Amino acid sequence: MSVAEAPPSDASGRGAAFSGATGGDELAIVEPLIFDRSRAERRGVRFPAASDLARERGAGQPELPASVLRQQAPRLPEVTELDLLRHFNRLAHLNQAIDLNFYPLGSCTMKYNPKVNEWAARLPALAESHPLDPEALSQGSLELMWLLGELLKEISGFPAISLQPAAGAHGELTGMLMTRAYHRANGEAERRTKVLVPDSAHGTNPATAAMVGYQTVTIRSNERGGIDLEALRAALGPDVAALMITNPSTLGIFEDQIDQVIAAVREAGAISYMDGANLNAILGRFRPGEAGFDVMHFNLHKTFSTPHGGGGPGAGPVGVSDRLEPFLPRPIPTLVAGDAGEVRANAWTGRSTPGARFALDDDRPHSIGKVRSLYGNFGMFVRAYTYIRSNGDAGLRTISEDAVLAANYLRVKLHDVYDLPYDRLSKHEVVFSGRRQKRDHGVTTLDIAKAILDHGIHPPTIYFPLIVEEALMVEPTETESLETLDHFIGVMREIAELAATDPAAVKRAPITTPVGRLDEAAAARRPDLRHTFPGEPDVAAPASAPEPREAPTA
Amino acid sequence: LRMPDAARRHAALAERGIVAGYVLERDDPNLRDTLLLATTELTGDPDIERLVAALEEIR
Repeated sequence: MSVAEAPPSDASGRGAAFSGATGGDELAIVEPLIFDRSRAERRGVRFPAASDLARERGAGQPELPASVLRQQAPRLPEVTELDLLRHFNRLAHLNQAIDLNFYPLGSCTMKYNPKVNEWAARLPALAESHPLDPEALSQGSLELMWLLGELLKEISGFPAISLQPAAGAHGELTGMLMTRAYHRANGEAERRTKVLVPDSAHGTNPATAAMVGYQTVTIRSNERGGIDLEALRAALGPDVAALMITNPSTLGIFEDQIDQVIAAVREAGAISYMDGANLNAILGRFRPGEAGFDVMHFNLHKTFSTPHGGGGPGAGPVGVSDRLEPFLPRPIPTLVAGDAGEVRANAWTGRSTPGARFALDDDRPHSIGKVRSLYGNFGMFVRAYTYIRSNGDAGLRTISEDAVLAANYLRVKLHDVYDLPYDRLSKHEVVFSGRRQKRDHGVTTLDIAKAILDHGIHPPTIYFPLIVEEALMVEPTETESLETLDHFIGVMREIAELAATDPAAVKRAPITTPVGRLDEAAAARRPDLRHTFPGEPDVAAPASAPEPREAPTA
Repeated sequence: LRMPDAARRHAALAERGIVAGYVLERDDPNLRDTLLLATTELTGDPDIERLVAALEEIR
């Protein structure tokens, strides 16, 4: 039975959840579609009629031509505000979410998003500002963007920054476009055709390089989980445009030969790109710009706690070295009058600086151009700025310390029951392997992940990084209590025990969730998102569904 | 709305705290002296009257 064919809930009004927890194939829905709650003429908001003044002034004015007027009103759900609120709150509570559950999804840094960020983002002067407002009326927004840029520069050690990219992989794309522009400016774009990517990098790194037209070359990891320096040196040459490295890597391991790596790349005339998605591990401890990297993207929605999941919006600013600065996307929020130190000092005490003026610098002839409409996801800038300001220098250092401590606590407490392919001090995340459970009991990492759901915990990232068999990539973040970590440890030990004593029970999981195991490929690739009104033909249905294309790497 | 000196008037209105829509010639030189304005159900009569009066004052 498809979701669209499901009957509405019983009339008790209780219908708050799916009731398909039978572990079987059948899926019964007790929270109906919002269309099923619709009743004719029911309204959440009633628009006011045009005022007498508007009628008077509008009389005799040309009306819109009939050709652009719609003939039939749209068939929107007709519900009260309360119906709507309950419907979406119920749906929201069916999800695993950071505000409801522990969410140790490796590589995603699912930390708690403090509500003070939301307060700041909703301040009317910020929330109601319009991106096309005149500069003279946007000084506060421009100052906030400038200040955030200054803070990110200080945190990362890069001399220049663009806030524009909308997400991490978009930041990567921006970095690679700047890399190409740099080589082009030096007349070397034709021969520099390769980008080197370690096998412990994020999957987006080689995808990004390929998008910009580069051929990617994989550099293997050594037995300690770091870059094999000899393999790197052998691959470097006059045909290499850049190295893209995720540091700490997807193994949660800091590249301890980073100085040699950067020096070798620079010597070969190539650009060194650091994927900064894992910055949470090194906040206040390692500054990639200072270490010699040329470019790095931040994930404000990971490290700086702006909410994510569900498709965003994210924010992926890029910091760059002096040699890439001319190529940054335009425009750049800039302080054009006033002293930078004074503006910062005043901002810290909550004051604006008389005489200071901010503008968008659009006069950048070597820029790669705009990579995003307007200036980027401004609401995320407000939240990230709030987060950084509310933590301060010492707070940011505590964040990385606690994140690393939490990951290592899990590593030490679980390494006797789950294999650790790289058994060494980790950073913000730790990668276990379920290969022992698979080999001895036929219980796979997917089964373990499903069993974790039965305990009200979002599973870790699974089957990534690719270099770890049956990988379970756990990132607890710094925002979870010792009790939560201990609970997770208990759950993981219990599942390992169950895998040994009753593997079939693990393979049946989950049994407490609104739905059991789904055909995930079909759900992702052939979703049925149309609603057909009863008694009406499904006009939107194509004669035959087109074959979906291969999904891109997330 | 087409009017002479739209960009200058737009800037002068901004000084008075009125954002008189968008100056279209910023994006298209063929649309000189044109302001793009939109009102919604949240724009009250007094706001509209204020805009009209201010536009008439700034010559």
